[in-house]
Amino acid sequence: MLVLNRKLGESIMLGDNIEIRILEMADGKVKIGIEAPRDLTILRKEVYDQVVEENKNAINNQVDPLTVLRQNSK
Amino acid sequence: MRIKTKYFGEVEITEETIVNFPNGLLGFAESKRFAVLEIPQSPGFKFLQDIENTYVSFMIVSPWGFFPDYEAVIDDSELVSIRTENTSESDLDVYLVVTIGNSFNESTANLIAPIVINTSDRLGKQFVLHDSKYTTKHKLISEEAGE
Repeated sequence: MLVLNRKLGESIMLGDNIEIRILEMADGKVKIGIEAPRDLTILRKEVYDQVVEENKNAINNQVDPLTVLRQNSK
Repeated sequence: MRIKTKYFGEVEITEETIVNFPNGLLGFAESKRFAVLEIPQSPGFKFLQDIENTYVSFMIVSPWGFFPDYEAVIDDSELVSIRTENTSESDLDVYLVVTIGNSFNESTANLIAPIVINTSDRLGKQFVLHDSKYTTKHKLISEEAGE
């Protein structure tokens, strides 16, 4: 992991198209501004991890999904 | 072309069945080409089958049959990655990834990370809704429904 120190108001560039700026620091929290191409997905890591985990759960099912689907007698 | 599917064996598909996911799905960045397969006798449910990796096959469902009030609010600036100039609202199909449990009653859908497919340009992406009340696990059959 690359570790950099930044002061309030300073920025980091990722490649040519992504800028990460420290906007505020208070109460143990940092407000971070991100400029990036619109097709780049930017997420809080906890949310990212939850979605990845559920995607993996969705394909690792132990039961045959077609059998379970047939139980839906709508 | 023939593809190997996880649940239907070898299947013949046409180019029109294939959807390109330039960013894959979250956690599956390498899965960029999927076939959308109908599931017989299960309207609303489909498989999103990775055509290059047989094991990667997601069950997806159209949201409103189970969640009539579902709203996927996605900013236009994010949708730009799967839209082209001529894309209209009606070209965009929304699906939820289903996690099948031991029974249908234990099965859940991921409401916070819907999959949007541009049916005219055959492009797809998994979006994550921001500031949302939804989670990754909503039971398809609500216990309070009392039906």
